[in-house]
Amino acid sequence: MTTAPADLKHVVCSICDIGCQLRAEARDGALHRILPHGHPIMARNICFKGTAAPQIHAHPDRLRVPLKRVGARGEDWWEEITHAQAMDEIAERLGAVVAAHGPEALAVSTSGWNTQTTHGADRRFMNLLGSPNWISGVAMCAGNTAAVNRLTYGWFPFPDLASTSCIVLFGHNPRRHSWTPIHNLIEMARGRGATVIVLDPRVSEQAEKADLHLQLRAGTDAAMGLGWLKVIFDEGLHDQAFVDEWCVGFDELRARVDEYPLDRVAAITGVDAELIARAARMYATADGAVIPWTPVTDQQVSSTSAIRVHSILRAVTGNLDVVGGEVLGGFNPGYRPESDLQLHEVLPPGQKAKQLGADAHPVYTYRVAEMLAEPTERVWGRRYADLVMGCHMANPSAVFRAMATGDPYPVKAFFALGNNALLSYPDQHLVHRALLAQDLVVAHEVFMTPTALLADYVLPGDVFSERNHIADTWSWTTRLSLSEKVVEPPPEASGTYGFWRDLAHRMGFAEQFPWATVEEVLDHRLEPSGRTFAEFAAATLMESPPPRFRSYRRTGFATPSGKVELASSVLADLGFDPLPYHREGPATSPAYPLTVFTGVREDPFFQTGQRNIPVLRRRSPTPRLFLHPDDAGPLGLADDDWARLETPQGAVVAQISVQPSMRPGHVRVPHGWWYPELRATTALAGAFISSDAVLCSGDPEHLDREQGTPHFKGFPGRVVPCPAPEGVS
Amino acid sequence: MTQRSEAAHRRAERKARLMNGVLNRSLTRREAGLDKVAKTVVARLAPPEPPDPELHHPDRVDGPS
Repeated sequence: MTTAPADLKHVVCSICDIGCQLRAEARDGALHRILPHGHPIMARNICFKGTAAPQIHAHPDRLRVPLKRVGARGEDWWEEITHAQAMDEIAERLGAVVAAHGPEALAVSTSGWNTQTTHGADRRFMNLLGSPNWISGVAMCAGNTAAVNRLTYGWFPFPDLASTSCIVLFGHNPRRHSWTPIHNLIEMARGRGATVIVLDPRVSEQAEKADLHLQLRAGTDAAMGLGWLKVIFDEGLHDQAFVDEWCVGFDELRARVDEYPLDRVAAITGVDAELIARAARMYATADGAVIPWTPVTDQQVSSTSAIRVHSILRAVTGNLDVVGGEVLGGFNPGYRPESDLQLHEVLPPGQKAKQLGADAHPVYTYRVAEMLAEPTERVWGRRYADLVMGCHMANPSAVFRAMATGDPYPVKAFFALGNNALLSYPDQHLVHRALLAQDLVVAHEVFMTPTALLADYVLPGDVFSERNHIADTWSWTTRLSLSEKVVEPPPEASGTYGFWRDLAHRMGFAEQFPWATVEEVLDHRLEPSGRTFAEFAAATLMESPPPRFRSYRRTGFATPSGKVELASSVLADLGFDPLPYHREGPATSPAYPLTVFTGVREDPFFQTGQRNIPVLRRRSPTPRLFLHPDDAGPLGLADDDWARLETPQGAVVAQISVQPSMRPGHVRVPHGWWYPELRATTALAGAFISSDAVLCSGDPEHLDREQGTPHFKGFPGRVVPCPAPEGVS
Repeated sequence: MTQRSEAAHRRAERKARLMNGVLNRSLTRREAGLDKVAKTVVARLAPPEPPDPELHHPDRVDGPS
């Protein structure tokens, strides 16, 4: 066997959403090895998912040829076709759907973390076509946080972990092999004396090392934050000068906070009042403190209030846009953001008004984006700021209801790109019905998934080692990271930019998609910096423009008042409570005595992926329900027993892991489980056996009011012993 | 936060901008001049990492479990 000389390049890993820059070695035209970064500060930013990339990218089951369905939907019978034939037929069938039902009959679900190099082409195509119905998992993960943060101060800040003195982790648990760079920054901060406060129903890895651990009841984060504000205001620990000059709504907020005395907050959260007060003081008196983004507050019935409380804490304690606090970075002036490429201005107001879910739950939809357009332009120079992809979305539950029922109008074409939609949203049975009711389903994936099994066409996607890119964290930070193509993709595979470009050229939008390649798009995006992609790649691996702090002193904040809105004028104008509040989630009962929290990620996997990668699956072969010994014992359950978790909505089967670290009365459920090995024997590869998405309701009663985000953190359930599912061991 | 004076804010901001500049230069492909100095400075700040056996996967495995 001949071996070509090693070819070492820098890549941005897209196996999870954190985007570590790593080094990749190719041999004989294939990805051979992933190595840590050569830069000493970034050398630890690597995990075992990243180093499995050669086995993922060269996996024998990887999709390499476009597939066209020839059996019944979901039957898994396919004909191999060319990319050109697939795109011709998709364009023709989409045209028929649009002609029959209007452009809003197209819905697209995607995960930018997975597809990475779309460059806003999906929204660009949809806006030109006339559809506002774009959805994504970021509706429950960071994107919605970005949208809610904009209500308070007009941007989504990033924590300055490199200089902070105090880190507050609301349920977030960065680990050595999960959110690795954030884990490493926290460790560095600890090393120089920063304190860490963890709020988590479980004694997580971060909680074990924390200065304070508040083992709160799941889903009570908003109440906890209101309790912190009570302590801070009562003890005068807030930054009165900043509040006086830069905030509006303080008196109203103060009155609301007074409704949450510590004994009430202690009763709601299950945490001792004195411990709550200690944590509040520790946060408020630190010389620079941060509350990094957390998925936990993205996924609960009080989500908007919980995220708003975090925003308010940052502001009133003087930690907003300062060194060691949380920084409003704005757009990178040298790199056109996706917001520019998406062409939101061409979608007519009448079509924007049709965005599904915007009537009931408007916060991350066009309705609020339009309300913030003027202040956003005044402060940040653009009317549309699509931060972390999450500021112009339709509501996923509303989209799936429309797909399944035709109410309020038919949605008959559904495209899923890098997104296993069936297992990624609440009420999996509704999503299933929605997919079955479609005239056209297109999946663009690297591997066959349960969602792709329901498609009419499955197109093979590329992976990060097969494309050039500059990762920009979707405007969350201003950092630009180079990712170099290491090997060629399979001949019939396409990137997502290529998919949308090819479709646009077939549907009359060729003029608006003038860039033939991703490199030409990158040249266009870099134009403000005066460089081409080749020049950027030849000069640097990563760069950030000089950081700006306290720039609001020149521009004000990108809110209607130009101030930090402690009472949100946007929420008030929409008819919602302008102040944060605690809302209780669904209660336990004698029939369902346990409190369930779902959506938990495991180290070897990202979202619903990688269960087919042996070196990763061996680290976590089966899904595990975490139970406290006091709960497992009376049920006769021990480690490794199989059990069924039942909720009023659905049931999953998993193995038991008895964990003294759990808060008694709580059950922790991992996210996104299915069984690729059952594809030949079980419908949809076991998508309904262990997927937490069957447990969660999309019922309006169980959605956050302002965003419509589902409640994953604290709903009733029960656990009963059962045998292992057939074919799983 | 503990009230930070205007002077303290400015000192912290200057330092942050300086460190950002050093970090940028340490990440260029240029190995001379100030970029070389930046690379040397950063290398002194962070000691080399010991190898992590968890990062190594076997070349061949039989299956998921």
